[in-house]
Amino acid sequence: MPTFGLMHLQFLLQGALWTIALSACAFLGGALMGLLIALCRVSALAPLRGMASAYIQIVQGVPLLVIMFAGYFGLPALGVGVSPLIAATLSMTVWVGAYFGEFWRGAIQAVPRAQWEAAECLALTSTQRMFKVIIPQAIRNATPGTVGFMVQIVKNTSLASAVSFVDLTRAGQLINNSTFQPFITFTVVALIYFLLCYPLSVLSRRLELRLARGVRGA
Amino acid sequence: MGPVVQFADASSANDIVVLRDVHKRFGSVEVLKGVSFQVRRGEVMVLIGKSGSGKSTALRCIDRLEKVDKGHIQVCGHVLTDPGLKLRQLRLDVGIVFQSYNLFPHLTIADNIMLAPRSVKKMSKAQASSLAAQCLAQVGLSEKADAYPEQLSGGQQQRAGIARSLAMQPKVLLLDEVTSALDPQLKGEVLRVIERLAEDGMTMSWSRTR
Repeated sequence: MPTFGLMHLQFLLQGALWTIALSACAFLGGALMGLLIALCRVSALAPLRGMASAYIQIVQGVPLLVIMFAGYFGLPALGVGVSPLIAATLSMTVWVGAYFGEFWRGAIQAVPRAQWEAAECLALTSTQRMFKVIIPQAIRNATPGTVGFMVQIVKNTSLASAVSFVDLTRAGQLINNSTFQPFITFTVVALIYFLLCYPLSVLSRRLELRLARGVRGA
Repeated sequence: MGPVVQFADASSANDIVVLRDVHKRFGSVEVLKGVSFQVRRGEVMVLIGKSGSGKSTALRCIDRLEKVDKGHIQVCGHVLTDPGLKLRQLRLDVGIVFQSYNLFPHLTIADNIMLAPRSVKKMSKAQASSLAAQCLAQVGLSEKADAYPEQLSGGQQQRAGIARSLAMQPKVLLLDEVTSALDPQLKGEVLRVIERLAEDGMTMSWSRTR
């Protein structure tokens, strides 16, 4: 029974790289999905609003683990064979998309009505209003919270371990099965997660302060 | 509310804005009760009344930010009660300046002014830039082109708002309580801009409390 050593640490760090990769894919996929959902939620067309709203309600009411299982076991059952990375990315995209969609809808609606009117009265089309006036302001509002949510994304990638994806958590489990030293193994795993998440928290806090400083007066 | 004017012939070619028996209510409160007036080309028509008298509502109806319940409004040849009305065409002819400036905070003053000419009129950056410089000179803000709205005083922001509307070369300019939020010193600089515009022949409709 080997004791926890440098070789095991290396294996954990490899797992951490996969955690980072999955987090990045989840963030990008979720961001695209979230933007689509947010725009549907503020659309003038009621069916779009309804579908986006239903999507958010359903995804927020189902555990991410279940969504992961649905992706990893469900897709092959439908005849679509996917690797654990793809399945995990798709599941996380669905999950992140719902949260970003709701959050960014709020950021869009937090832009004062007067800005919409001013843009409308300058004869801008609704697309021009949205992309040149409203979204830039919504992004400023949404950035700290979005960066903060990245911490949740990183932590929740650990659920991919349940679908054979060898991320940091799964790597920890595998090492524990080999060394039977759970305390040191999982303490190191926790430490590595902390080192990944803490800079994101700090960045989010800094952005929040910088934005608050930048807004002076009306 | 403002003067109720009887006019003999309904559509004189010189009338930029015509309101006839306009009614507008918000919920149970009727704000405009059969309002009629017209604004001729080159005229500055001032709507004076206390708060709640419907002056802003009248201006907002002229730019179709609100829909009237009853009555006839014609602006620059567009009939506002017509269901086939092209809103964007109307907004090209009508400029409106708001009491709360409503400048776009993420853009510099120059970019604020250039946004619509570039996006709507498809002007090149160079053309829009020189247009913006002209408009800024007209309101006396040439040195603030690269500043952001939050760096300007209230009076400067209001003048920037006027410049932004002027850049689209409207046929009529609506000024909604543009000096009401300013202290006397800042009011003066905005008044001077309005005077100059009037001298240059801009048709304007201006609502104020006093």
